[in-house]
Amino acid sequence: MGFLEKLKILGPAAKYDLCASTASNRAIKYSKFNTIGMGNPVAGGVCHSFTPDGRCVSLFRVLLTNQCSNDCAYCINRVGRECLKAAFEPKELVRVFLGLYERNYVEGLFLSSGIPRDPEVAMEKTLEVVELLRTKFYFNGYIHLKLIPGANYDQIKRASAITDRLSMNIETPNQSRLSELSSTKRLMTDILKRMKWIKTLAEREDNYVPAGQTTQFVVGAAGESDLEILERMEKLYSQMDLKRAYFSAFDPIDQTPLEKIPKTPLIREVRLYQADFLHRNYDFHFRDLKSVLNENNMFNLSKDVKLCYAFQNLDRYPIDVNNEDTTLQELLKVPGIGPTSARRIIKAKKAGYRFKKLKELARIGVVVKRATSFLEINGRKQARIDNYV
Amino acid sequence: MCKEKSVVVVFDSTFESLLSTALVCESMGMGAKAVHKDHFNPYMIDKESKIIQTANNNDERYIQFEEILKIYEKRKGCFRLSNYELQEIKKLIDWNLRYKKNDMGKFALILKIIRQCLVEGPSIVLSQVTTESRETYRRSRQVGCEYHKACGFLRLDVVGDFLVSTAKFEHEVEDLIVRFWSKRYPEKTVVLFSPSKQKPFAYKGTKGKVSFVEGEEMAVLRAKINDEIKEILACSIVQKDSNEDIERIFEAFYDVSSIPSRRNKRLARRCVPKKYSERFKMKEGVKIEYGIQKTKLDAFIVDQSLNSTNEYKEKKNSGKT
Repeated sequence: MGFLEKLKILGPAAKYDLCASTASNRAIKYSKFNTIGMGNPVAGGVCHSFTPDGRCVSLFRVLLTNQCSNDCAYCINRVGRECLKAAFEPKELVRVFLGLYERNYVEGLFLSSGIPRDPEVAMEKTLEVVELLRTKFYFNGYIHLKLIPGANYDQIKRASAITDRLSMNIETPNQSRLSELSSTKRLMTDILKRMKWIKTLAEREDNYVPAGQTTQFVVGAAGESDLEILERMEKLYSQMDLKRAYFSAFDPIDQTPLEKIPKTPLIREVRLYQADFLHRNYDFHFRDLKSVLNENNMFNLSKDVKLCYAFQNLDRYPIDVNNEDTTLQELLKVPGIGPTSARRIIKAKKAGYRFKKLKELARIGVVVKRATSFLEINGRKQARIDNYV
Repeated sequence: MCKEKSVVVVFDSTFESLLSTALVCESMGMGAKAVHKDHFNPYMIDKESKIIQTANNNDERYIQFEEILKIYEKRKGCFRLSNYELQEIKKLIDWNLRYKKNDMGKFALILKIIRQCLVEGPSIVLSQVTTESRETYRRSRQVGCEYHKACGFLRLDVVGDFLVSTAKFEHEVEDLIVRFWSKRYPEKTVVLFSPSKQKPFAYKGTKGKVSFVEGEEMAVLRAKINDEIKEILACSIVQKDSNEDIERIFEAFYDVSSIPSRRNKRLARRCVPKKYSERFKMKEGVKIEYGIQKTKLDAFIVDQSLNSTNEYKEKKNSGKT
């Protein structure tokens, strides 16, 4: 089988794995001194094209093989599912990837693999590709490696030393949900224990996993609630030093046990991403996010998370932008004000500037239409909340 | 009463020169006039007026920044910009200096911005409260956007030891792009041709060092690259994948990496930069939206009376005859 044929089988097999940013602070260390090989991870993500589903193509995202002995009920590569099977040879994958990188088609490599038999053997194969790139071809660009549940400590240590980002798919928030989907994976031993190793290694060694570790949830496959996901995220952020979480709304695949289960609405995925971003960039605590959930422990699908929070805490609004006591955290909790515009408001206040009109706020990036009901300018309310509703 | 001499400050396209110019103008008040060195004509200026050069071009009238700073501090008090603020302003102005190659009006805006920093404080500019600062940020975003898009969407052809690309830019970002690539591919020489009708030029970069190439030098460079192409074509055993092979592989990868159930036409159309969409498969994202034929109002009216537009056309044609 030629490379193109293999790619046509292994490319779609990896399309449900998520990776977005290619930012790695290793860029600074390498750019000045490397004179051989190629590659230079940048501090901000670079997109190289966009697919018709609107997602950016930044990394060359493939599976090394789609043969898998795991029986995950949602997975396209599960054991027993009839489909064409293929596997790349490490050398041919490296050759083609370098060809793509050299011509500026991709920004880095995202490598994952099925588990044909032994997880350690599968992990060894993927490590062979990365080691070939780093040591033989002196590739200094961005590499995101998907760790295989069950990989041993030595393999994870080697992977941490040579990759920019490591990730391990947690899939479900707890063991009982995971048991519904897979009889072969164990949350504590196969996944969380490995994530803890990555965290310890990154803390102990200087240049290990510079872009941190991430994880991915399959949303809706096991009937879990948003509260369960939030609780798991809280633990992951605090205990595993997680960089970010990805969510993939469950999409039924034919010839799998879940093929007749309806797909999860994409808006649920959006709400979870909103919650994740509010936690990471807007200084929201998980207790704030949990307070927004409805009686079924789910986010309101028709209203965005920040707006729901604002409606539930109306006593905290309106916030006067010109008030000296108004903090950055308070501004960040106003719908329509993001981190950049909040910082600009604080900067302008420090310079002694007083806002007089909503127009001025619009000029510095505030989405006035959304923010107007929750803001005061010089003690004057700008709109009634009722108007907004 | 003795009439004070008018001052003409001649500046060039560097941040240091512009900052010095702004300081001189601010110290002198209304009497100072700033002119870019490319527009400076000594015969157009009053003989009695004093000329100050802030552009460092071995002119005896050139005054160093430190000296200008002393004059400014003597007249106006201390220079208020901290190191951090100065760096931020410098970054903003550096991007603005690259805005539209032939737009000389950009210097007036930059001088206004520096003046605002000196008079009202840098926070006024950095928080984008004034119209001018907002315009400056808008321009810097435009330039930055062109640079970042080029870094991502421009493709390179491997020709022996050269990585070659051709593109035309609205803003002056060619050297930045070549520097970015030459750091990324240190073993190769990156060449970016700019096919301008008036004056074609190129930038060449090796190991992070970038040089401007034009005229005869560029012809030599082109000939060298053409020789490499001939050599590759003459060689019977091709060891590496050719540019076309790799393009085919990428197109296959592109086709399989989207999820059909998540097709989002509007998002795809918004993300794909039209400038680069012609080159490769991304144009399909645009095709989804643009591929649909436009429906005219007539079609709806026709539908009510006739079953199909063909019938309508036939009837129309017969009517004509």
